[in-house]
Amino acid sequence: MSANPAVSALESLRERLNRSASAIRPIDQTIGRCRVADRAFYVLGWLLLVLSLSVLALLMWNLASAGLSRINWQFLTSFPSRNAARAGILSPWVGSLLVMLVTASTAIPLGIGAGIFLEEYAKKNKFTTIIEVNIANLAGVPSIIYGLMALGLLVYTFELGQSILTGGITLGFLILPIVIVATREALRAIPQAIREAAYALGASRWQVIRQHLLPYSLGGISTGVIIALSRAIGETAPLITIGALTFIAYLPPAPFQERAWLFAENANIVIAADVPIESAPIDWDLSVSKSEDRPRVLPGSFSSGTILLQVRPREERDNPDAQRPVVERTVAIDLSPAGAESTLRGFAAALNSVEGVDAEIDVGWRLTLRSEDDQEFRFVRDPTGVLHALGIPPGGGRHGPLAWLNSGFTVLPIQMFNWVSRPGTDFMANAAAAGVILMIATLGMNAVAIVLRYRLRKRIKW
Amino acid sequence: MSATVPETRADDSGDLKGSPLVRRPLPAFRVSRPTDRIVEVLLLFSAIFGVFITTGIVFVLVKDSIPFFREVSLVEFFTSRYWTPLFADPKYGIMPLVTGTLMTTTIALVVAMPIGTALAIWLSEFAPANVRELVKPVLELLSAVPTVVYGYFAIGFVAPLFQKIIPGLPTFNMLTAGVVMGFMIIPYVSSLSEDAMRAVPMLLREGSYGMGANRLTTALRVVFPAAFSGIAAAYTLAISRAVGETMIVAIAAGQQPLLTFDPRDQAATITAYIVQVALGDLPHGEIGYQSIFAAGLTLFVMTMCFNLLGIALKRRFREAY
Repeated sequence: MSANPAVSALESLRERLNRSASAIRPIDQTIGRCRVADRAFYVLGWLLLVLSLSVLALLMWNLASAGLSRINWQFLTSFPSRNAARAGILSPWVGSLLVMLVTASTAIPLGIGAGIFLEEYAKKNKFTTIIEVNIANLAGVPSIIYGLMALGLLVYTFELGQSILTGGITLGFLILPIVIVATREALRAIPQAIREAAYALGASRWQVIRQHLLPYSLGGISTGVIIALSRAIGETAPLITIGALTFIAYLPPAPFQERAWLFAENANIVIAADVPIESAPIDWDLSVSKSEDRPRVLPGSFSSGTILLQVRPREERDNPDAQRPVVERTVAIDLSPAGAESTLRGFAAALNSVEGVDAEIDVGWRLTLRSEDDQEFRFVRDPTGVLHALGIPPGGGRHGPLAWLNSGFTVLPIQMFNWVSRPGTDFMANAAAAGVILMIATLGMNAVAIVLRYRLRKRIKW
Repeated sequence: MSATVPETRADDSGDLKGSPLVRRPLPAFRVSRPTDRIVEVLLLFSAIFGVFITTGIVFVLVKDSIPFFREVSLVEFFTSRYWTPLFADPKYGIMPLVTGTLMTTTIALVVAMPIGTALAIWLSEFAPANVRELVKPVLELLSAVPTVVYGYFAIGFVAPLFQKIIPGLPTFNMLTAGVVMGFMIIPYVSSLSEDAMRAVPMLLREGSYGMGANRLTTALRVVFPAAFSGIAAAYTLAISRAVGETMIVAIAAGQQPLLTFDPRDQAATITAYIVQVALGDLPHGEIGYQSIFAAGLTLFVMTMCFNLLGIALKRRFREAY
């Protein structure tokens, strides 16, 4: 029986079937495993999302817990100071605001103009391709490179100085690609029928753009502009590169402000610089601030008075263990243009009386100032600050309406960087507070942009 | 017929002799034509302005590096292992700065690429539509935070945290800077990759589902390869961002140009060096000062390479539907 070939064939068939049945079962398992993998990835996605957002939340909590208590009226209305508790962000936030003003007026017209040209005028040819590739490329250039470009071109070639104008234009160039892309996208979203209808009524190309396309795309464009400006307000590196100051205790002149006014009103006029004294064994920080019994300076006329000179080893700033004291000297100053040189000599004498410093007025003052009557003063690197501090008038009278463009400046992120990079923990609360304000500005602008975009998407249905 | 044409101005009657339907264009149109020309020229100018900026960048970087390279040979620049332009015995080897830059970038990418890609896949293929609409802009806030704030976070929170985990870790180290930078560039990876994956036609997904594939397999084996050109573009953008990032590394990675591959060490990057010199008081025209332009040129060439690589990848893997 068992030798029956039919039976053995049946046996082997059953065996094969059994085997394939056992081969089928793993497919069930495979499906099960796939379901598990799907579920697992779904959960993983949530976890990664929570992780990323918790980093954001941690960062904000970290900033707020250290900085919120520091934000008060005094903080917003005081100049930076060596005393952490007295320091404030008046000059940084004014600087940020003014730089943004220049940035916006550079990037908005150029960006929207370029966007309109590329979307509405440009024909498909090599020339257009070059422009488009170039803009895509610019978007990938690191911000610090823009700073180097501005340093070489705007500061030294066009001699715009390390001013608000230079800073604003630099950031304007930086955000130009963002504005262009936003403009193009907004224009592209408008259906062709709108253009055709307008042309059919006899409108010229510019009339179509001005009366139809621009109004319809305004929402999208302004969203892009706001996002771009929010990026610019947090930019630090390019402004440091062009030589924006890190410690500034005066405000840019208001339009038509009387020139002497700044000197008379600011209690802490400070020449912000690491004054290079070449013969000194170490670098020193020099700050010049007016003493409490400051002279009353009448508008347009210049009197004499005293200045409190604080000299501090730079080494102390970089190394918390070095406890060299701040040395204070009172220097008599003559605020007339003719007296400036003797004032500088007074500075040098005061510096020389500090142990370890060997200053000579003609050695190491790197920047040459020229007053109206062609007198030369060699001094530190910030001409505007020096002019303000010494009250050397390039001429009497009032500032022009745009004099603030040429003023030296600092911005919020630079001030924050300055405070973060100081040793010790004194200034960390200040840095956090500046960070909170910076975050409110950036995130606020982003929120406005998000809401604007959401609203627009809901309202316009072509 | 002519009776139905509305009466035009009396002095037009002469022109209407031929056909009553032909009218001269209204004066307003004639006035607008010169405006049109002027506007077009102005718009053309603003479009070309971008080219001026690029030219300016290349011009400045090359022009201001020339005096540097007159004194420093290219061989020394690329082979010397020390970068000490401000020392009494200056050495000009860019390698320590380049390795610092590449190390921090690599650490950032190790953080950002997996998280960003997974988030992109999740957002595009798994997340409910309303969650996606809400999450995307919120996630993008990660890259909207000013980098100096990230620097503060790195030095004030992350570095102490890592010091607890890794004993002997110095305050300034590449690991902290790289990880924080990684979180900053997550949105660059996730948002652009997600856009690319959502652009993949539904048909491909349906085909995959029809073959019995599950979501994850479809996402990884079908959607991801199909969207790879866009994802590669996202990666290269993230890389250029990380290479060019300045404030986080300037604050958290230290200022010492060391040729090291240990992420626990401190090391200066190209950008950190430029900031360091710009903050100091070197006079214009000294070699130490010119060195920042040479460093900037190196940085520019590096990012340019990554950008071109991105364009090449995009072309190579482009799938047209």
